[in-house]
Amino acid sequence: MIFSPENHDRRASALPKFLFGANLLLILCALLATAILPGVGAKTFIVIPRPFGPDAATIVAQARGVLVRSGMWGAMLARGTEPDFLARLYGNGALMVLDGRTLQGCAS
Amino acid sequence: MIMNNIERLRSTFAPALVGVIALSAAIASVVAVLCMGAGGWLVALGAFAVAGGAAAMWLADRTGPMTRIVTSAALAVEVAILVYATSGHAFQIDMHMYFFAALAITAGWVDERALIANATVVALHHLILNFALPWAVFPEETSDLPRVLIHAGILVAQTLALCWLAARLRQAFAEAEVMQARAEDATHSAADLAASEGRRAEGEVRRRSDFQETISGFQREIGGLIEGLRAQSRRMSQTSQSLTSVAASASRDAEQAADSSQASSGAIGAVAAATEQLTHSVAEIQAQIGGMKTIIDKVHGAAANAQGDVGQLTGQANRISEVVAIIQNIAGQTNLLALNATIEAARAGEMGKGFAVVANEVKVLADQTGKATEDIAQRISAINSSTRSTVGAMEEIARHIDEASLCAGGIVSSIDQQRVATGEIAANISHVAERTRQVSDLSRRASEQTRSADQSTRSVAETAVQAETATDGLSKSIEAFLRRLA
Repeated sequence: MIFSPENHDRRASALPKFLFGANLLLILCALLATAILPGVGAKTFIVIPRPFGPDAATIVAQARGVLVRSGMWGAMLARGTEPDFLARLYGNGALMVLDGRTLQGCAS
Repeated sequence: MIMNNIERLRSTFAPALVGVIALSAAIASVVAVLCMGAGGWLVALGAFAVAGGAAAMWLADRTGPMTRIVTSAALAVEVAILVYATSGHAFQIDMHMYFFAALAITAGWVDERALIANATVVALHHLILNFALPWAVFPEETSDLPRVLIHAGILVAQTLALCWLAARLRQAFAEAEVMQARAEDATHSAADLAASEGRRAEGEVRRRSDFQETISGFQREIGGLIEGLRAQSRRMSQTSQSLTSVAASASRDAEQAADSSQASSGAIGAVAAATEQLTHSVAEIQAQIGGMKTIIDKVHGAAANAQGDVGQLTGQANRISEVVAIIQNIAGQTNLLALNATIEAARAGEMGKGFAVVANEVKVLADQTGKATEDIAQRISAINSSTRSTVGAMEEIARHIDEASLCAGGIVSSIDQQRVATGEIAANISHVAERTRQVSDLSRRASEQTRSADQSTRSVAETAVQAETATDGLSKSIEAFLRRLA
C-alpha cells in the first residue's frame, strides 16, 4: 500500500540521506564558488551571457570594458577599471561573471 | 528511549552550533554585500543556502552522524565564505583564525568524524585555491607548496589533538555512565536492604504489639471468665437455696399426688364398670339394628314383587286394548254391512221393508258397540296411566328402601366399630387404673427422694461457697502470673 507504515518509515529514513547528499553537493559548490567568483579588486572577468540575450561583446561594450580574448560557448575575457564594472556587467545582461584570474591560473 | 550523557551533551550542543553557523552566514553576507557590491548578493545567497541546508539536516536527523558531519563541514564553508568576502581587505588574513576556532567548536560533537569533515573542507578549500588560484592563498607570490604543507601540518596537528580529546571524552562519558549505573545499583541495593531491615523491625514491633495485645486479651478474657464463675457460684448458691424450698414443696405435692392417685384409682374403677355396661348396651343395639335390616330387606323383596305384578297388569291392559281395537273394527264392518243391507232392502221394494228394519237395528247396535268400545279404550288408557305412575312410585319406594337398607348397614358397622372402641376404652381404663396405682406408689417414692434431694442441695450450696472462694484465689494467681509475663 502507498500509505502503509513501512513506506512512511522508509520515507522518513530516506530524507536524512537525501539531505546529507544535497548538503555535500552544496558545500562543494560553495567551495568552488569562492574560488571562481570575482573578489574585491578584481580587474579581469570572464563574462558568460544569458541564453537568447545580448552576446558577451555587447555586454562588455555597454559596460564600458575592454575585451581581452574570446572563449568557449560565447564567454569572453574582459577587463574594466571602474569600480562598478562588475555591477554594470550584470546590469547589461551577464548570466554569470567569474574571476578572470581563474583562466590565467588554468593557463599557468 | 533512554538518553545517555553524551547524547544529552550533543542535544544541547546541536542548536548552539546551528546558531553559530547561521550567525556566521549573516556576518559573511553583510560583509559580502558591503565589500563586494553587486557580486555580494550571490555570495550572501550561497552562505544562507549552506546554513539552511545544515539547519534542515539537523531538523531531520537531530544529533545523528550525518548531522554532525554536515554541520561541521558547513561551519568550515561559512568561514571560507567570510574569508572570501573579506578578500582585498586587511582583515582577510585575520579571518583565517576563525578556521581554527571553527575546528575547535566542532569538537563539541565529541565525534572524530565531525572534526575530520571540518578539517577536510578547510584542506580542500586551500588545495583548490593553491592549485587553481595560487594568488588567492599567497597573494604576494606564486604557489608555495612548503608553506601549504606547514599550514596543513598545523591543521592536522590540531585535528589529531581534538580527535584524541573527543575519544578520551567519549571514553570518560562511558566510564562515568558505568560508574553511575554501579552507583545506582548500589543505591538500589542499599535501599532494598534498608527496606528489608525496616520491614523486619516493623515485624518485630508488630509481633511485640501482638503479644501485648494477646496478653491483654487473655487477661480480659480470664477476668471475664472468673467474673462469670463468681456469678455462677453465687447463682448456684441461690439456686440451691431455692431448690431446697422447691424440694420441700415437691415433697408435699408428691404426697398429695399419691393421695390423689389413690382417689383416682377408685374413680377409674367405677368408670371401668360403667364402660362394661356400655359395651353390653351397644351389643344389644347392634342386634336390634341387625333385625331391622332384615325386615327392610324383606320389604324390599315385597316391593320388587309388587313392581313385577304392576308390570304384568300393564301388559294385560295393553292386550285388552288390542281386543277392544278388534271389536271396534268388527263394529265398523257391521255398520257397513247394515248400510249395504239397507240399500239392498230399498231395491227389493215392499218385500224388503222388514229386512230394512232389521238392517237398521243392526246398524244401531253397531254404533252402540263402537261407542262402548271407545269408552273401554279410554278407561284402559286411564288404567295404563295410573299403572305407569304406580310403577314410578314403586320404583321410588324401592330406591328409598335400598337407601334405608344401606343406612341400616352403615349403622350396623358403626355400632360394631363403637363396640370395638368401647372394648378398647374398657381395656385402657383398666390399664390406667393399674398405672394410677403405680403412680401413687411412685409419688410416695418421689416424696422420699425429694427429701433426700433436699439434703443434697444443702451440700451443693456449701460447695458453691467453697468454689467462689477458690475462684478468688485463682484470679489473684493469674493476675500475678500475667504481671510477671508482661
